[in-house]
Amino acid sequence: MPSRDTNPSFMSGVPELLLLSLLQDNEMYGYELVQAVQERTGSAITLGEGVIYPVLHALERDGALTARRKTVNGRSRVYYKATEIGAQRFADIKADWGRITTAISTVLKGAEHGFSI
Amino acid sequence: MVFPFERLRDRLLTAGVSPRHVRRYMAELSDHITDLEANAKAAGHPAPRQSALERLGRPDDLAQAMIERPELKAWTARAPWAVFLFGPPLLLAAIDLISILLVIALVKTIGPQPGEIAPDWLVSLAAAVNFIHVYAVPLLLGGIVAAVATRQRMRPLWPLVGLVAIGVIASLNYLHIDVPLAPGQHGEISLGASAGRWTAFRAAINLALTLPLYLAWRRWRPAFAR
Repeated sequence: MPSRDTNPSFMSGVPELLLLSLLQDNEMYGYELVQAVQERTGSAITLGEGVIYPVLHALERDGALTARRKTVNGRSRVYYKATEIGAQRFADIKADWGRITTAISTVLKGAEHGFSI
Repeated sequence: MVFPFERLRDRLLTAGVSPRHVRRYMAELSDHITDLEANAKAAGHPAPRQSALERLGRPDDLAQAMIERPELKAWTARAPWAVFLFGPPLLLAAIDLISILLVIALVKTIGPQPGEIAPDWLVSLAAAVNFIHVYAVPLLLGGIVAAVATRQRMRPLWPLVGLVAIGVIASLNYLHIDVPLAPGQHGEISLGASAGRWTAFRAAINLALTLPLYLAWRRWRPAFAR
């Protein structure tokens, strides 16, 4: 079976950031989360759909998410929501991500103008 | 095209992933396929099932994503020595404690007054507790070890160590309830550990009872484990 192209290894940690971001105020299930990520990133970020569940399970095990089975429109699904620990973790990762993107932007701007050694 | 749920489940359990996470993962993947297929059908895709399976991911990737997270492993995979060496004595201690508390509570509430002889129900209860403790508790503990090891598709080393530990510990441990059978006598609950000439024999009997249970369970595990 052919595999869909997903994002390369430098994206490691990004699924966690995106999932925690989406689950801050909403209770969502896996499929809904994948759709939301694609929609909000304009499909620039494509998660391997099935592999988001291990990320969700690990976050739940760390206490960053709660999981509960809920029946909506006759379908029973596991819904996830961020906890206070999850909110704190999200803030920490977001701050780290901000520092990294700023640093990379600075390097890329330097490359545009030519580095001097 | 069929998604190999059974093979993925076996692979995850054999790799030590906690059964709780495996069960939920399987249910979530199944739901996800259903949603993807419905979505593909609605979009007029000519092969909605195949499209759904492609978007879900390759079974190898789905297995690897779960296996590479140590925090999702069961205790039987993380510390089998703790589960199979310390688990049985702890369970045995819990069973001893519950048995003693139950008997004390019954005697205090509806039992005979000091100096009175024990009623028939108390004599039967004491005999039952004594019998269960000697014969049924090792079987129960062996059954628990067999169920846990089989569910987790474990190699036989640690379960066998656990069964030997149960055989030895259950033969050393004793819990005996004596009830007053004549006026003026008093009842007694004895709990302790002792090694005597019957210890090795009892250990061998315990092992002879629990080992076939485990081997049979292991032999027919597909029927029991799911």
